[in-house]
Amino acid sequence: MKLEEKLYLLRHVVDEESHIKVDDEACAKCASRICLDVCPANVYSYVEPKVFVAYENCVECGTCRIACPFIEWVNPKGGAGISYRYG
Amino acid sequence: MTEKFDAIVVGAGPAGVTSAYVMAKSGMKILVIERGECPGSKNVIGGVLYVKTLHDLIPRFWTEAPLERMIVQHSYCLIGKNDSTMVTYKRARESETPKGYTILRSKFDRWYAKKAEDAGAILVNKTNVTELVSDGSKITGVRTDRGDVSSNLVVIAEGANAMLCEKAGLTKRAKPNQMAIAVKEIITLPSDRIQERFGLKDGEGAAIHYVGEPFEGLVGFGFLYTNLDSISVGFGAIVSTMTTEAAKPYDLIETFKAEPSVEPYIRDGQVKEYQAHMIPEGGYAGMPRLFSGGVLVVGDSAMLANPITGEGADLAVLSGRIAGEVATNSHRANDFSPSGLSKYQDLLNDSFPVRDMKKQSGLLRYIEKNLEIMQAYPEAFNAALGEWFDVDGASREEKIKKIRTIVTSRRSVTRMLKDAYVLGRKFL
Repeated sequence: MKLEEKLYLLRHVVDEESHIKVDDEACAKCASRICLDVCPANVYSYVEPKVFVAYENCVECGTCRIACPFIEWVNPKGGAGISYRYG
Repeated sequence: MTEKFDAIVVGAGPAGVTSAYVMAKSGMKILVIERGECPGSKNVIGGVLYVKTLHDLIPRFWTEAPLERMIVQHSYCLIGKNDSTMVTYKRARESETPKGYTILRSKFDRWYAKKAEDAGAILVNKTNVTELVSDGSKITGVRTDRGDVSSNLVVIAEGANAMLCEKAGLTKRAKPNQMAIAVKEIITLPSDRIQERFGLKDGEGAAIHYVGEPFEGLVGFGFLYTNLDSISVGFGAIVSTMTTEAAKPYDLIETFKAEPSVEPYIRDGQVKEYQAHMIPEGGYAGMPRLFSGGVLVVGDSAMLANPITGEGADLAVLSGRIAGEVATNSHRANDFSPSGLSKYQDLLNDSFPVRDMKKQSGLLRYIEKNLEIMQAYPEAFNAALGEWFDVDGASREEKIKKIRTIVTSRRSVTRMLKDAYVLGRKFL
């Protein structure tokens, strides 16, 4: 089963505003682009020269924030974001 | 909200709800703030709820709580390159009181939050606490995306992403080697098929922990738990080791699920939910300061998880209970100063799980520095057993000699002695 299909199973309440910000300057200089490797929901993608953030797919694990000190990650607004049915 | 509360609890997971339950029962005016649509909607359990600490608080809670299966069977599975070894412990159900249950958080957390509400706590969902409010000397409440609320005490139960703790200066952002990322799937199967596959009776459940081959290069392990009519399957790995492009979390879970020691259990099942969550693995050394003027920190926010036993939810309950009791005393004495609240840290440090965490300090760091042992031992074990069960004309004496060579080719005797000494001291 592909990740896209798995993500499609999830229920999100999408906030119109992103709760994730990347630092374009830091991203341009970054050698590892670890955000692309650790994110379980493939939120981050790199298209020269920028990292793009598909915040609406975020499952709020917060791993990117631990892996990269330049990512500004906050909780989505109250009631927004992922809503697990099983958990 | 203009009302003032005796305490505000940030987060309606088991840690926060336990503290709210204890404080509300003592007559304190409690507000629980949950950012999700309802309690549990943001939460993921990586394993088993061990009953001890919750049973101490709510005797025989299993007669009323929404639970999945009572775990009677625990297995360790060592995965090699082409083989695996499983060791299974099984407890006869009739003779024993329960020890642990699988749970699904959306059901369980809602039930548990209702217990705190029944005790008198007020629960507000869909509200995000963005920071603590201070008068310069102590915390006086919280700021939310729906306004400020004041209280004498704030219990931080915000989970693994301890951002309020960071803002309050109780801890620094966790390092990548202090957190694990866990990815899990809920795969549905009819209840009777689950029971046939694992050899279980009605209501009984099984847990399997996996180490070895699929997690090469990681401080990581796999897990599989039976729910009533679904299986939870996934893995966890220390974030600092998840640095290669080859091991993206969503690919790794597929590799793991395809393992011959995993796939037969989940075959023909339907994936219903894909989840990811972090597990605090910083251990005793990584724990934040657990109190300051008007603040207590509980559960995952306090780094309370034990990677060896898979304890987490039960530690959340324990810390919530101690925090609730200390808060009750502080409320009676009208003293929420650091010196009054420091009792929480003392009591928690004396508790059995934190003593374990203290004892096991440095365990993961040792494994991280000696990453090859995560592969060497499972491989050596499998290769040795493979040799033993292979009737190929060699005598048993020759077999044992071969096995000795097989094992020492994976890890030298000196290394093994050092591992045994260092790791053994974490338990003995």
